[in-house]
Amino acid sequence: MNKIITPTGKMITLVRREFWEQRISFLLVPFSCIALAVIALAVSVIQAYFNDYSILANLANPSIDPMTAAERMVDFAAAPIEVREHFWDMFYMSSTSLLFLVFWGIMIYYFLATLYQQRKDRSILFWNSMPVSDTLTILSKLLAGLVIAYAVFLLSMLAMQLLMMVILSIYGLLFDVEIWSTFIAPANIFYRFACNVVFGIVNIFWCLPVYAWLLLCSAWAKSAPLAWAAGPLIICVVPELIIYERSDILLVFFQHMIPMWMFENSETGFSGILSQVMNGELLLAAIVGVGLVYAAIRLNRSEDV
Amino acid sequence: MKTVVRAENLCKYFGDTAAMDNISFSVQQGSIVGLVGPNGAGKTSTLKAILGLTGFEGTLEVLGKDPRKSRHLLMEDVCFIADVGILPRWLKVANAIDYIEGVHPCFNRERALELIGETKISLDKKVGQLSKGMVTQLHLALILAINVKLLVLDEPTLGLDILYQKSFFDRLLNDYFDNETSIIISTHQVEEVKSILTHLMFIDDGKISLNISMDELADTYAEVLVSSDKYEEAEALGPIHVRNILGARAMLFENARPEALQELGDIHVPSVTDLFVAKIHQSRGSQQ
Repeated sequence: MNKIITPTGKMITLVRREFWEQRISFLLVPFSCIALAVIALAVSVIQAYFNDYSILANLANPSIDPMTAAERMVDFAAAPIEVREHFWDMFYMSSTSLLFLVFWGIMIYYFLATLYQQRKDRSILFWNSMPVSDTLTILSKLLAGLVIAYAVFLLSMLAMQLLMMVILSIYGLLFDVEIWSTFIAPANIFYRFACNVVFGIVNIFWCLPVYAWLLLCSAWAKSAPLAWAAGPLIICVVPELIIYERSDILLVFFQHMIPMWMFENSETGFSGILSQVMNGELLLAAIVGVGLVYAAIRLNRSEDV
Repeated sequence: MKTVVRAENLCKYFGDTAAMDNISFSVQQGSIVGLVGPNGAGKTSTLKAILGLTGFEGTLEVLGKDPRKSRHLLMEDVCFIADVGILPRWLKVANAIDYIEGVHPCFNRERALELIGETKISLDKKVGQLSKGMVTQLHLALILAINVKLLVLDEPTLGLDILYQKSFFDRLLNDYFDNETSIIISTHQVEEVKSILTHLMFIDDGKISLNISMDELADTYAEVLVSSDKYEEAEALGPIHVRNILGARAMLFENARPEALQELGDIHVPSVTDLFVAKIHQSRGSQQ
């Protein structure tokens, strides 16, 4: 007797498939970045302790007066809460910004290569021998990249920040300062995590036009999907640059490809994220993105492989 | 008996080359059709059309569905193996089983594990770590574990050793095939598969030059080993193909009267290979 497989069940399998294929990009890369960052911090803290300089002073203001590490720690613990919060905000944001950049880089490569690669190695004939529609295939790739892989990166960042907090707290214990008010409470790690979750949801629609465009090129190009993706952009941008000596098209494209604005508003949390993008541009991005996803589904080539 | 595939006036061209040149055919439920043709004859294009993997003109119904519009629905009842290794190199054997189990309602996991267990393939290996023959074995095992109404095989045993080829065709006939299932098989190794075929279809230059059941074949075609003193008499009956064998001539006749042939020499049913060569020469000769 045949089993009943629901569309949700198929979607879960398809997303798992993406993670099997992208194991390095989606899992090993974030875990390696975390390991490197945590090890780097641990080494820095150990070096700072044994050489009697303050890691806090170095991070906060390298040109500060020649206090000892212990004096700097006491000074930092006694600083107003806003100062401590700002310091940790900068520290944790800079520690995660690299992971965000890595994530966006991976997404650009992933969406540009994913459909093209399975035609190139002819595995599309195997995938298409299964009862899975093009719609489900393409939606699973978007779900895997923009939601599940993002969630893995976010959880990795949370794990990294918690590990960093533990290392810094141990460092703080050596100077006999209050750990909670100095290292834990002002860091607002879980609030920052919640902000990134909201950012991720907004980001799905904000970045959709660019990622869907890359997916469309990947679905359609017989060869060199990068050239197909960049070609129309170059054709539009070059005349604009010649006439106006600047390119708004390029600016908008990059803003929607790598949303750096999230760092500019990190201090303002939810309101910063929402005020930045909850406008007509986000709605337009979502509409254009959905249109391009639809085109990618329609144009997904399996012919003549 | 139900019609599983109904194709009418199918056309597909690659530039000036015809992959399907206005071809029509049908496949009935419970039949095993051998699709035979030289390289570039249009076999793979025809099979891809049936599977909804290529565009074409004409009317095509597979299990009552248009493969161009309903490929993913069709694949619940149709399985296929393409002519080259198409399993992605990064895929682990265990993941391939998990994947098919997750998307195909007719997949039998235990059966797949049993079939893979009969090979030297281990579940934790990636496809890229397997030899070409093992990849084919894996793909065949996965496909044989799916219970479908139509199985399409494009050169399924390419790269397999003789032992596994034999075992595959035995298994296909004894374990897989039943009156509910239909199989279309494209292969160059026609003599290997002829014993399991119920129908034979020759294709050349995008045209079908023969479409016949194996029972009809024996009634329609006869090969006679003619001795030199009866050449003229035999030539007068219009053989469609003649070849020299050890001082005699093997002449292949189509729709000839058996009593007329009996006087010429030993009569036997021609091999599929000889019939294929004869029909290809005949169709190419008539085109010139």
